[in-house]
Amino acid sequence: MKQIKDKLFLPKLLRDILNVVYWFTIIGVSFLLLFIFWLYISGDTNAGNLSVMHKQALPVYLDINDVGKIMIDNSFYEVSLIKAKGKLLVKNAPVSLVVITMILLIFIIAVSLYIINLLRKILKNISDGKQFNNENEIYIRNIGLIVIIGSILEVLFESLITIYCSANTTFDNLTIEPYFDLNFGAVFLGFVILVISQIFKLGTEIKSEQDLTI
Amino acid sequence: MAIRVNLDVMMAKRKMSLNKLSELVGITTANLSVLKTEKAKAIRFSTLNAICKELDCQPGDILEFESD
Repeated sequence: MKQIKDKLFLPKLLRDILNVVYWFTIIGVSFLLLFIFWLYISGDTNAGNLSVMHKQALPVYLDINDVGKIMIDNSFYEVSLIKAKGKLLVKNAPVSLVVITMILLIFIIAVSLYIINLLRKILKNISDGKQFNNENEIYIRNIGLIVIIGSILEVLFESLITIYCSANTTFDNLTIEPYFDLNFGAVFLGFVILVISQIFKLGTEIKSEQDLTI
Repeated sequence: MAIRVNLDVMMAKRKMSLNKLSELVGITTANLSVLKTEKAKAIRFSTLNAICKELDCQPGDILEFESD
């Protein structure tokens, strides 16, 4: 019995840590929502204390129209900087851009909170000795689907921003190029999580048979 | 499933209650009830052995195949 309790110590510890993260995030998001509401109502883009909020960073890919040199084996070779991932810093951004960016941030946080909540539920089930049941299989499957869909949405969102910026931004020696960079690692991880959910489904069926074996 | 469990018939013949049989066989009343109500998916030989010993019967007295 002590050995079983020792084995369940780690899930309980992880669940406690996730509980702290979860509630701190909810409190933080609540303050953020209040701030956005106040910002939208006030419409003041020059409030001194808010100057940092008006610098919005947009993720883009850049090509620098300049030729440099790199030394390899004591010889110089011409190099160009292409598809450098950077951020466009919009200074004194309009309130609308700030609000849109904050709403997107809240959406990302909400999805992360949902994943954390699913993990809390899984760890609670494991701590209670209910490792293989339908609930855990569904939770794990949902996490896998969110990771895959999230990766695809992330690349779509960044592509939209890049396309807009490439058409509406001017620099002397920089060009912004649309570039679609799917996070294949995250998509692969999502599929691995889906496979794990199927293993849990199989485990649930085996356990159900075992429970009904007299 | 086409296997019929006639445990309640044998228990009535031997005038034994579910609680007493579960105590003698060494399994919980809940598990014995699962067997009696034909919800079980499998039975171990050791369990069948213990039940037959306590009810003084053959496995065929408890389990019966019925074609669909």
